[in-house]
Parts: sequence; structure tokens; C-alpha cells
Amino acid sequence: MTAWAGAWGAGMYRGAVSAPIVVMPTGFSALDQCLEGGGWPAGMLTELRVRPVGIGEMRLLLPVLAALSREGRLIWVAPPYGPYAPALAAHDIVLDHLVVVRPRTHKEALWVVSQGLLSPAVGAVVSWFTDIREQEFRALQRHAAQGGRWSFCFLPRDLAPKPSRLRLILEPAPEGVRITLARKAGRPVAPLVVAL
Amino acid sequence: MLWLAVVLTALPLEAFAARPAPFAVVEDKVLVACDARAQAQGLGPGLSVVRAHALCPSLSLGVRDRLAETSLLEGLAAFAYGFSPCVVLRADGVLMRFTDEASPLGDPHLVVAHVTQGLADMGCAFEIAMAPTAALAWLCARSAVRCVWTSKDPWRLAVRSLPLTGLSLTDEVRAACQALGLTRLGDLLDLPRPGLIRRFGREVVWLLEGLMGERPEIEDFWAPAPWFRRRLSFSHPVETDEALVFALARIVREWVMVLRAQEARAAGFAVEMTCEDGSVRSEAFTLTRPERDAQILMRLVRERLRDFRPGSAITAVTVSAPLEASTEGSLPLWRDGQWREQDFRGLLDRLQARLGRDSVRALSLHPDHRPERASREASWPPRRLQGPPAHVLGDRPIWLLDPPERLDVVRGMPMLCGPLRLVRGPERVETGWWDEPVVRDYFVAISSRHESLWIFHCARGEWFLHGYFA
Repeated sequence: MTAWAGAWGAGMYRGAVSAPIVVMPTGFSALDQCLEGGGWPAGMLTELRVRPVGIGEMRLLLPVLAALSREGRLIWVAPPYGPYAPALAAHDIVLDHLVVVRPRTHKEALWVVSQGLLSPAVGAVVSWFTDIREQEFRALQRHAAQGGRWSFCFLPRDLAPKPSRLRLILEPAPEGVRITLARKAGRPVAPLVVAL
Repeated sequence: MLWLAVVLTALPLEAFAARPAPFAVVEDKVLVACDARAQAQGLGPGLSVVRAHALCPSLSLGVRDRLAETSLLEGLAAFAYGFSPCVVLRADGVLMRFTDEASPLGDPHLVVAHVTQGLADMGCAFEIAMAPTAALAWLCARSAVRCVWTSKDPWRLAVRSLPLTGLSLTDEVRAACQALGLTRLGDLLDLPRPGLIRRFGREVVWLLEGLMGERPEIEDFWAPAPWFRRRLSFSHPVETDEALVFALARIVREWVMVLRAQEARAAGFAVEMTCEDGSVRSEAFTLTRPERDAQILMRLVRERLRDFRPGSAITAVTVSAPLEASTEGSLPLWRDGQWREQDFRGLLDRLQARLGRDSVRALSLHPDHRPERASREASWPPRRLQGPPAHVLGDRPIWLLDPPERLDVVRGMPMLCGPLRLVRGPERVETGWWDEPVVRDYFVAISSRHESLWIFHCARGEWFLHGYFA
């Protein structure tokens, strides 16, 4: 965990520069270089747009989730399929620290995510939604900022844009996964391909 | 010997959760108790319902709930038990005995202050008095004399000015006293005892001897039940959540008081609701770790009831919980890790309370060579089977489809939105001869959309999709 304090200065007081963010290296140096602060940011909802399922979207997150599972807990809310324990263990996820929650309704899912985000015992919340209203998304984002935990939200590719500070569009590529940083503070970046 | 008496002055009223003023409690068509607004309109105990309604048309009535009253008294006794091991339960209050002037808390005034504070927190109307005899403490509390008399005080003098109205005398004796001009206790004490016996009977002297400590007092002491049980009834059946939560908050407040007094924790609880149509619905819940914090317990009770919709309105609600003896401190004096652990258990409790136990799940590894048996998702907490985990040789996907999905086959090759390209394999899995024989050849395949799939080919020539390398 590193606090990125490069931009700390007079600009911050004028509101031109945001407060330093806490990041966690992604485990992929090409991606680290493109992300503000050099890793996955804490305290905000990272939006991931994936289609189809099974192009390496979880392998992209497993390094950071493994690191977070060692000291905190992981909460996965409504994953699309059954997480397979041997594969997760092979990626160094501490299985005893992983809670899979299967809510029955959308409202329950939102509630579980915000409860997880606000708990200091939780390292990261990963959630899968088939649809989410802008208002609901904003509420989750507020809770993410309040709790200061890592959170990743998988949304269908064709959903209307959500007001997130960091959105990644993941597409399959022959040699790995193509990542487009669709929304992030700072300069726009060209799509990059990460080999998994 | 010192006795502390606590009388709940509005016990029949307090058995009701919500009391829309003016409010009165009736039993056998006669008023038993009424609130301040009703009293201001000239109502009082003993009045018939018909006359009460004539005097005050807006009066709300509740039928006396003895069960709720008993549970309230039990709660009071359990609270008192935290101060003294010798508690006597009376019809509308409790007596606590302190063996010495020096109680565990030291100064008797301090004891009274603590008890008063606790009762005020509970939010009930009460009278409290301390005196060297049980009968006297009780009389003082009943007469609303807030005294703290120890045997060092000149209480024998002070007693003389007490009115006779609080004494449990028969109507004849009372009338005779009035006729003789006896209004204070001192007037009775001054009279020669043999004359008193002749005129009023033995009971009166018996009473006086008890008051002045001239005969030993024998009391049955209350023993705490190893559970907490509290019932609140509603004068009007409730349908809204707010009214229910209000009642539950009151119960939880008392519950925590009892837990604290008995150095216990709640390991689980059951909420029982009596509906208007007579049916009873109950919800039980077990905590992952015993708890004593009012906020945590209230949050759990609320979450548990959030989606709970009984068919009709609720007339009474009961919370019952076993008391779990515990020596663990609940103060956050631990290292960071332990504190977080406690917070995490609290989170799990909340999730399970709202979503149900089955929705909160744990993953565990199992030593089995059949891929679908090597991973198990079951309700929290995780259970581990004894034995080393199965040694995994090949690739394993992150998402597993259970059951596997059958794939279309064209010219002997599997298809999923176009032909699949097999990149690794086969890996033969051949096991499970003890129930259903399994022979599968697993491949890693790439679809035309670049998805990485885990597929297998079984002996019958069919292809199945079993997982995604997400």
C-alpha cells in the first residue's frame, strides 16, 4: 500500500488537485503506469465493463485481491458463477477470508455492498450487477469513499455510463486482455493490452 | 440489614408499548390504572368503563396484560439482582436486601443513586425507598416517601410521621382508625399493644412489629432464570414498522440491562409476534458470537424483521433469549486485528440476519479428484474436511459451472458461438468409482470471442462446458 503524494501542494487547497489517494499495485506494470498513483485506488468504486465473461477479468484482479485477502476480508456479492476454490487457492487467495454473498434481490445486493464498504474488517468488495441506477451507484460511491476500502463493480458492457471516477472496459485480445481506461482523472490513455 | 424497595407505580400502563393519551387499563370492565391526562379529567382506578367513557369520551383503553406485567417485573428483578443477591419479587415491585450497611457499592446513598439512574434509563415510573426493615422500605415506597434510612439514622422517629394510608389494613380497621383520629403511624405506635390487639386484631400488631423490626422477617428470594423474556402488548394492533421498532428498542434496552446485571451475553434470540387473528409467528436467530451491546443487538433485531410481514396487525411482541455467562470484556482494548475480527463477525451477523443464513456463504477446498467436488460453497462459517487438499496438476478455471453445460457438436468438434480451438489438454480425470464412474478428458479451449473455457469430453462422445478462466 503506498500513498501517492506527488500532487500535494498549493494546488490542492484551490481544489485544482484532489487529495492524495491510497493505491495498491495491480501486479501488472503496464497497467500500473496508466493508473493514477500507480495502482488500484482505494476509497472509490472501480467500474469494470466486461463482455463476454471469461476473458481474464478475474485474473486481472486476483493479484490485488490475494494481497487484500491476507490482511482483510473479501466480500463477493452475487458472482455470476460458482467461484472455484482450487483455482482461487492457486492464486494465493486466503479462502477463509472470502465471503460469497448471494442476495435474492437487487435491493439486498446494494445493501450488502454498502455494509461491506463501511466495515473496517473488509479489504475489498467485488460486486456484480446486471443493472444499477445512477442514484444507487452514487450511494455506493459515497460509501466507498467513507470506508476507504477497495471496491470493484462489474457491470454489463452495454449499460449507460455511470458517474464513476475510474472505468475500465475490458475486451478480449489474442495475447491477453485489452483495457480501455474510459474514464479517469487526468490525460486520456490509449488502450493497452495486458498479458495475463 | 438494609432493604431497598422499588415500586413500579404505573405497572399496568407500562405493560403497553404505545399509550395514546388519555389512556387507561381495564380489567373486568373496571379501570385499573390511568395516565396523567386521564387523571386530570377526573378518572381513577375503580371507575367503571361506562362512567369513564362518559367523563372522558376520547379515552383509549387497553385490556390488562398480566403476562406482560410479569415479564416486566422479572426484568426489574433481574436488574435488581445486579445489586444484591437477595431479591424479593412482589406484585408491583421488588425488594433488595443488603446484608450490611456496607454494600458492595459502599455508601447506601450511592446504591440508591445507581438504582435510580438505572430505572430512569429503563424509562418507567417508580418509587424507591431504603429502610432497615423490608416492611418499612415497602411502606415508604408505597407512600411515595423517598427516604434512605440506615440503622444509624433516627428512623424510629422519622417513621412516626408516615400516613396510615399506605399500610395494608382491612377496611374496618381503616374506618376505626379514622374514627379514633389516628392518621399517622406514630399514633398507632403510641397505643398500648394489648389494647390494639383487642380492638383491631392480631394482624395490626403483627404488621407494626414487622415495620419496626421487632420480629424476624422471612422472605422468599427470587432466583434469576437463565433466560431473558420480555413481552410488550399494544393497545391498538400495529401494522407499521415504526411502532414495532419503538417497542423492540424498549425491550432491547431492558435486555442489555439484564445482561449487564448478570454478567451475561446474548448468544441468540427469538422474536415472537402475536397477531390480531390469534396466530403467533416467531423468528429465531443465533449470533456468531455472544454480544451485549445494545446498538448491535438492536441492529440485528431490526435487520431480522425488515422483510418480516405477518398477515395481520400485531397485538403483542415478545423477545426471549438465553443468557450466556461470559467473562470476556466488550471494551475495544484489543489489538487492531482482534478488533477487526469482532467487527467482521458483527458484519456477518447483520448480513445473515437480513438475508438468511444460506445467502452468506464460504468456500472450502475438499480432497476430491472430481473437479466439482473439490470446491464446496456452503453457508458461513467454513467447514473444513480433514485431510490434505487434492493435488491439482492441470489448469483450473476461476468460475465453475454446476452442472456443466452441454455444448453443440459439429463433425465431432465442440461449438460455442463458433468452433472452439483446443489449446491445452487432454487432462484425464478418472475417479469416483465408488459411486458414479467418471471418465473425462479436459481441455482448455478458446472461443471465437477469445473466451478461455474449460471443457471436457466424456466417454459417450459428448462435450460439456465446465468453467471459465475468467
